[in-house]
Amino acid sequence: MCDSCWVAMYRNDRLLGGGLRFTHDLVITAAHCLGRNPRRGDTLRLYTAKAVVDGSDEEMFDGTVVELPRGDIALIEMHLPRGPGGHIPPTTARATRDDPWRATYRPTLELGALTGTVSVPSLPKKARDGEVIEVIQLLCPGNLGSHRGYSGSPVELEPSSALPRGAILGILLQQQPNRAKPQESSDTLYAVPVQEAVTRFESLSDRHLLECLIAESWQQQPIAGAAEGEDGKEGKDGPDQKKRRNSSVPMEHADLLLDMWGKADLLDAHQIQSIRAWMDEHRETDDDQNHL
Amino acid sequence: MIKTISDAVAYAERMLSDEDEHVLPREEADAFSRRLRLLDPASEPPQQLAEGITRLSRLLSRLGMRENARVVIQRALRHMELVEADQTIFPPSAWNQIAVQLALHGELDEARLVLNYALSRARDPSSSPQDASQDVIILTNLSVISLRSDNTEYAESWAERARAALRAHPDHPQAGRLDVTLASVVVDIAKEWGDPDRLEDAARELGASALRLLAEGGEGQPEVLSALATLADAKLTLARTAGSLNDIHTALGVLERVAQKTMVLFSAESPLALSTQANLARARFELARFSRSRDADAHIKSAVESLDSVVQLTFTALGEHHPQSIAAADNLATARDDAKAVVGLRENLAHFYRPRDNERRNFAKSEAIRREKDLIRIIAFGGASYFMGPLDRYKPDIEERLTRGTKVKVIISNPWNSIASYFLVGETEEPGEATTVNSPDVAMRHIQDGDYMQTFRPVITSYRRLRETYGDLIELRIAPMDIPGTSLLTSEVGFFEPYMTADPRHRTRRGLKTFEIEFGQISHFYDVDDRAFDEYWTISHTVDEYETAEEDFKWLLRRRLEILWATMSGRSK
Repeated sequence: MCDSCWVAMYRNDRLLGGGLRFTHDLVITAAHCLGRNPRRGDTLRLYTAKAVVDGSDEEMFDGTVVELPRGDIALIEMHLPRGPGGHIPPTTARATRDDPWRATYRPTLELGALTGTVSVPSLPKKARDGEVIEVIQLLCPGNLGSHRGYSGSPVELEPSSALPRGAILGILLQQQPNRAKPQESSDTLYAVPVQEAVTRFESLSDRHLLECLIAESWQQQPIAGAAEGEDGKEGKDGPDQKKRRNSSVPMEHADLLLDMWGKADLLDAHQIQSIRAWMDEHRETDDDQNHL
Repeated sequence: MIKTISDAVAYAERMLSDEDEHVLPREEADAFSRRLRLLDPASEPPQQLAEGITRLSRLLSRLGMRENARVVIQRALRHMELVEADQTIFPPSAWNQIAVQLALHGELDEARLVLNYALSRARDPSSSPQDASQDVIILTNLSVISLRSDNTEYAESWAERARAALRAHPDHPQAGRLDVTLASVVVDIAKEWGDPDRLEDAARELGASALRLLAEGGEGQPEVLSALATLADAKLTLARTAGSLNDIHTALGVLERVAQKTMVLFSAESPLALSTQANLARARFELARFSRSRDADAHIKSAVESLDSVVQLTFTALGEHHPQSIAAADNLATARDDAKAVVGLRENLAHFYRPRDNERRNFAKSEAIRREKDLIRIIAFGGASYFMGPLDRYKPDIEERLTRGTKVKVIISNPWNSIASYFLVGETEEPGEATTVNSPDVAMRHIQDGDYMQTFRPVITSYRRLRETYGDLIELRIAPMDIPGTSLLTSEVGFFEPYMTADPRHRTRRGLKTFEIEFGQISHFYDVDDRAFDEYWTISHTVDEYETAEEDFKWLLRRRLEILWATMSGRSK
């Protein structure tokens, strides 16, 4: 079972809810756990499963809200010391009908774990902010009347021979009110599937990841115009040139990035035009500055 | 009734919808498997055969019926080869599709042969114009398959030819995808060759190709995600080479995100997700091993656990003998070896065979022999299964391996060792009847006429014949002491069967009487058996040494029998 892939979130000693530790430093949770008007840059305190269960001080970290896309989901970055880390990222799977599930996070250790079966693996549903998202409909028998406090919990598929560690299906988002007694919860809950959440976060988009890698690879490069080799190709850089590394993107990548940023409305036409003009100017005048 | 591919596809689709993509329960899978035996590829129109097979293979894999999928592909291939004996029926794209399916099932050598055939077909002047575009696809696939077979030089050569062909067809409908695939191959080649300058250049090119494809086709394209995984891994290699801890952490962070995203979008069992997770776990292991933090041991353990879990998932998803599974297991074995003091060795068994599993056990051992490329090691009481009939159980496999240059080392038991004391026990007519004692002369005759003549001498004769043909590739030694069980060790796997009985006649030329365990190369049992083989080998005689001393061995046994006989005869009845 993935007993290490949940976190408890606190602000000013107040418990906010749970979250899925998706990578060693990224947590996915329900945005409504973070307060009425959560904003990017909000800070909070994150207790790993180990910290909650064992009381280990070394497993409590600061975190910052880095993304709040529509659909009542949020991405939080944990501020961790640099090092290999012992966290094993969770395995994930898609829900199928009648899958037995378990919520791995509990608001307090006195409470039992929510369990049940998947009643509908994929269903379009309006989130709190009105955005229609894909959800998993879960049956949670037990007549608890309320499931408050469990939001943000990872929903785990019970372990099987194929997946002995279990696999995360989604993150708990909502309870379905009882139609006869609307102040109470029915036995139906909703979770956002991991794939739905992941595709909504810019930090996990192909474009963003590629940009990270391109910038990194360029950082290792000598700047253009380094000493030419005998064959006329770019030669190896000398000690002085090695110092002049930077984290910019190469010019041929910049054109493509501008196109994409334009399409994604991250830059307007005027901004793109100014950058292109600057690029053209520098491309013509100084090959040594062949980067943004 | 399932007769056509379309029938099988429809049936598989129905099973999938009923099971909501779960692996089929065993009895249903068996029933489906029986129905698939009636499948006749000839009943499918030639134009639709490869498409149908591709679809069926995917469906069967999703149902957890990978072996059935492999058999169906092989049958389709055989059919295609037969009907094309004297005419051209299938287009190059059909051959290419079959080759892709073979490669996905780990049949890389066969896939390469089929691709070569597809290439010659695509270049046939009588082919239709559309085959020019197939040429680029086939060349790209040849480069990918060569790389997966660890033939980096051929991979590079095919990639260069594919790139030239792609430049000649800039309007190719799959230009962006092929360009990214080829750029990824070039990155992997540079990584394999350990050339950081070349790797930097290749990574930059791959970045540009992936950006172009992303700009054209948007998010969520498998080729882009695959390129991200390759690029992140290359970045990590470069950071390690440069010794930059900061870059290592950054690259590891991106690799982790890519690995998790790949798993989420394509499933934890997809080959890409599995290979990316394996790269991530291995990178975490190396970082933990070289970090000097006080938690280093805990981090090493957790990284090895991750690797182990990737290996188990890969075994489940692709089968234990898929090249990707073997690579993942090698990766884990190396990690365990590097950190033996911290993680110890696994005590899990791959299989446990009972007497009723005799055929399955024989098949598994044959398969293990057939897969071995370097060294096969055997410890056996008589060695009949490996050297002689009547069943010729493993001898054809051994000979086939020898023809391909695999070394074979065998240890058998000296027929005059102390186990022969058993023949002092006389036969009884009826159960419960008092046991009689044979004289040393009778016991020696039992050995001479029994196992010695019927197994030992024929095995030595067979060995000498093999030695004449294959020279030093095969070596037999004779252990001076009893051998209480039989072992087979290849590079990947080990088998051990204890004899339990003291009766030598029940130790050779017979089926499985007790049980046999199969274990992977990364296990505690392999480690024990590996050491045992070396010990036996050191203490055993070559055949020439044995033959020189044979009369002395006989004399020693006879003396032993005389002492035992005297003692036993003096007992009160």
